[in-house]
Amino acid sequence: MTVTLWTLATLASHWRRNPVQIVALLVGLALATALWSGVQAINTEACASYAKATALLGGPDVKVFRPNTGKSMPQTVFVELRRAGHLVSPMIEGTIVVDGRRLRILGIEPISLPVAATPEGLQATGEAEGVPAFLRPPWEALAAPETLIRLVGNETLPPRRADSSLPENTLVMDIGIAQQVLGMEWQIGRLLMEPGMGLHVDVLHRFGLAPVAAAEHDVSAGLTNSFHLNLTAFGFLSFLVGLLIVRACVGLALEQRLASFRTLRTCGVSARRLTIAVLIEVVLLALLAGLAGLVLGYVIAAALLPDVAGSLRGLYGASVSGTLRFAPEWVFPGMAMSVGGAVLAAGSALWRVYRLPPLAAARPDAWRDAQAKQVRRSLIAAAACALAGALFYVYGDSLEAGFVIIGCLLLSAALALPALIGAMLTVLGRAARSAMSEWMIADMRQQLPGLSLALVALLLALAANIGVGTMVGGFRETFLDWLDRQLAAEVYVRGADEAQARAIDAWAARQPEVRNVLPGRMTDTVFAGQPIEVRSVVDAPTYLEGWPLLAVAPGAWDAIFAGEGAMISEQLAYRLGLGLGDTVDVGPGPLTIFGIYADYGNPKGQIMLSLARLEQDFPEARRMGTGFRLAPEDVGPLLTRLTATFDVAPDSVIDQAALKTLSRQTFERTFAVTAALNLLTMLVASVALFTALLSLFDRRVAQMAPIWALGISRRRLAALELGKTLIMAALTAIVAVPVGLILAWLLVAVVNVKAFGWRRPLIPYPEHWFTLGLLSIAVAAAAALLPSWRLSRIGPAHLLKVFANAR
Amino acid sequence: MLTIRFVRKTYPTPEGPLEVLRDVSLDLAEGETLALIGESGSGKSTLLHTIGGLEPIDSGQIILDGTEISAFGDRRASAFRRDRIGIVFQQFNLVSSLSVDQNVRLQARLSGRHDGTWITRLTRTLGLDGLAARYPEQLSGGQQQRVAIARALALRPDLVLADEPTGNLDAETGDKVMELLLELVGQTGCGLVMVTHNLRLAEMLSRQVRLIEGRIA
Repeated sequence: MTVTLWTLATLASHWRRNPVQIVALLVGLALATALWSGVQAINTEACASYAKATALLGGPDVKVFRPNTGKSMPQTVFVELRRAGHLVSPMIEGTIVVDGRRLRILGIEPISLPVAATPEGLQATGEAEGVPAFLRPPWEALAAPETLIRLVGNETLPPRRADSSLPENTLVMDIGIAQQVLGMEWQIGRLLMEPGMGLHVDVLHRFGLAPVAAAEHDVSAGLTNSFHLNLTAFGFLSFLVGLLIVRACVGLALEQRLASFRTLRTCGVSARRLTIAVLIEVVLLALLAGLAGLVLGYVIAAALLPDVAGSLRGLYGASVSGTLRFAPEWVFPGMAMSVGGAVLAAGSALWRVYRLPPLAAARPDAWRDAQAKQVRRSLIAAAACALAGALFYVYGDSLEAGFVIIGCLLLSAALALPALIGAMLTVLGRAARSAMSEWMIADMRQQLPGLSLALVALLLALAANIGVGTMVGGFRETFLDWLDRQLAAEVYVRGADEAQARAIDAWAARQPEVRNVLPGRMTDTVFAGQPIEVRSVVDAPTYLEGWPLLAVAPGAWDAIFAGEGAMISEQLAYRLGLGLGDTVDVGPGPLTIFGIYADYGNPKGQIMLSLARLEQDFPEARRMGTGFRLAPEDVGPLLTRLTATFDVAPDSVIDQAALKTLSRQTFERTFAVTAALNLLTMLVASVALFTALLSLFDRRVAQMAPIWALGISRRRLAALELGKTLIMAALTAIVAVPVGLILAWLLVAVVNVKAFGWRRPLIPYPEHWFTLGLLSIAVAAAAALLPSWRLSRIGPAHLLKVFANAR
Repeated sequence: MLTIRFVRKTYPTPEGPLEVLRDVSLDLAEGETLALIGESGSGKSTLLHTIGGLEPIDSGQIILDGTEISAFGDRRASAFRRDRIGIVFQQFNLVSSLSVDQNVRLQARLSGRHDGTWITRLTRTLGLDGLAARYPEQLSGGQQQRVAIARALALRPDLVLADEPTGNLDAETGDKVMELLLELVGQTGCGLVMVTHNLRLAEMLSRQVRLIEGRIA
């Protein structure tokens, strides 16, 4: 033990004398852990929220029925069903805005509520205490502790009691009180029944009810899982980039301490004990950095969570709490990743320590020389990785396989980078004419092995930026175009009921400025085990000319308006493997598929029929808002006349521009998280470069001293040093462009198709590459500035020492 | 005290095995000082390293106080070296991140035989008491070698091995360092085996052994 402790103390003395190095190592590992654990914290919080939301309604086993109209139903339906002996329980759900934030109101009737759907707050206290307090004045409501804090001081809502099993921003109360709070007196939204029970189809028809498919929940879960898998993949990429810093730092510390290791060996420290001491040192540093990383990860997650929650709510209707907790689910794995990653990154260094003969000459360059010799082996490994990726592309058929292909691509590029930059430097060297440029190129080649890990980190960060940037850019362009086509009408109006809707349609058709009236209906059903939407389309130029079709058969619209065909959304086509000419069977008879259209952001598959066919096959289908086509400047006057003529609720009139803005906001929020992760990865890469340059400083002084002695000023040498780093960064950016483009193609053509079921065209953005090229040079400049400045300030005595040592 | 019998050692080279030590045998009595002299490549340093357990031998025996150290693996050889042998190298081999004081105490602490009084006396004798807080890079070559000698003697070893200890020093400094080394070896009563090219320094030791092409002449 004494030997190990004193060996550890000797090893630690290196860090005391080289604080920048240990700071760089700790920062690298802390950032890596932070990005990884931050993403995991977000995922854990989201999963906890899903679990709470699912548990609130008793999970998928509890039977749920809702009106065919998609709206609420009179409370008399519940009364009649109970009188007929059906053990249903009423529920109402709605949203109110409190202090500018949405609050979900859930009204239940606790006496008849299925046991599985009963909140813990009512189960725990028992009927004797909890239920009466819930059922009698002052009508106590239940809410998560976080919600209670949010509602402190609110006196308009009923008094509240904590129930930690409830999701955040949800208030559960007696249905009678909820009806008042929501302004829906004598209305109910859904009916619940115990698992295993049900209603006969005749009863369903009589009361206009439809069962809510359990599969609806599964589809949403699948999509949110894909979203989280994407986040995890980016977190892992950032973690890998961080590990490159750790590897570089540990390798450098080993190199600098070779002489000390030799001395310790000659003083009687065995190879095994020395290796154990270095391992303990790495683990201690990893624990320290891991702790810092967890705190930083928490901060990152807390900053990103609102955007993630917004995305998940906007895209999939999934409710995610906006607050974050330190949970063991992400804290312990985060620490394990930190320690495991550091040990893995230090693996080759530890092996070298173990194999280090006590009399090995302390040649600081030996490690780099050996690395230079590995270039050929790395190229072979890069080719093997590329081949493995190609095999996964051909034979893999899952989202996970998609990520493996991306991993192979990035690993292959990382392994090949030193050789590629070396080749580019050779070409540059042939073009060099002056002695200084020849020396610069030769010096860069010599510097390359020492900088290669940092350049790999930069390559990965740039490639991820180009890849994700291209994907998001393409998605934005396609999405906005799709949005324009989907929301073609200038205004949408929803009637209070069928009669009012028909009256509004007839009125609008008589208005001179209205060019087209586009009524629509929609219903939910299940097809091939998938919950789907069936929607209508009318014969109008708006649809015929602008519908976002991806594939279409000749005579498609004629067939659809003749009631003989249908069009389906891209995600339904992908999930069920359907194509043009296939049939779908959702009504009385099969319909041939005449077209496939884009329906981005919709978790459900969709089938589109003519309005006449839909009304014939699905008489219970609910009305969608009717679209009116008119000149944008006529929208205001028309709406004024409309509201003067009809008693239309303000939220029943939807302005196209407002809706588009809302959709765009949801879209931007979705990718705000990936953009933030990309930026942080660039930051990590910058730290990697800075670390490498700083740690190479002594070696650089030895390279610079002879040139200084030949009459080149220190200031010029420093400028040349900066220039060399910028050239290396620019060469890395050149390699990153094709890698990033392949990555973008994989994200669009493989990962997104598997994750979401839709594919978008790949649109290259050269201006984005140019910006990133400049960014990489800026990153390199920021990283190289301090080492170059130190070089320009170095004293002649220090430079002369190089020659003294040489003697 | 030290018995070396028929030690053979070869190094692999692209041209085939290179025989560096050929059936080397010699003895060292307790407190005896011995100089190994010979041309470059004659095997002097290799013999010194094998005695210290730094390099394994191909065949033969190296016995120190009845213990056959040549039969040890890395772990036991390291422990034996840590507790019984002090080594002084031509390149000083100090730990650059440790101060003079920490360097001097390093091996004694590792072996658990740290004697503060002895180390204070040692550093005073070697003229290091004013340099305790300095780091190796702040010392001259002669000062660094004195630190290395102090480190080797700090644990009161049974045997000191010195590989060209004055090779990096000018003549005057080298002589001073040599005098101090012999004085302290005399005080501790340990044996000394020293490799040197310098015949004048070799003659300061009680016995000289010449190696020619791996054999004792």
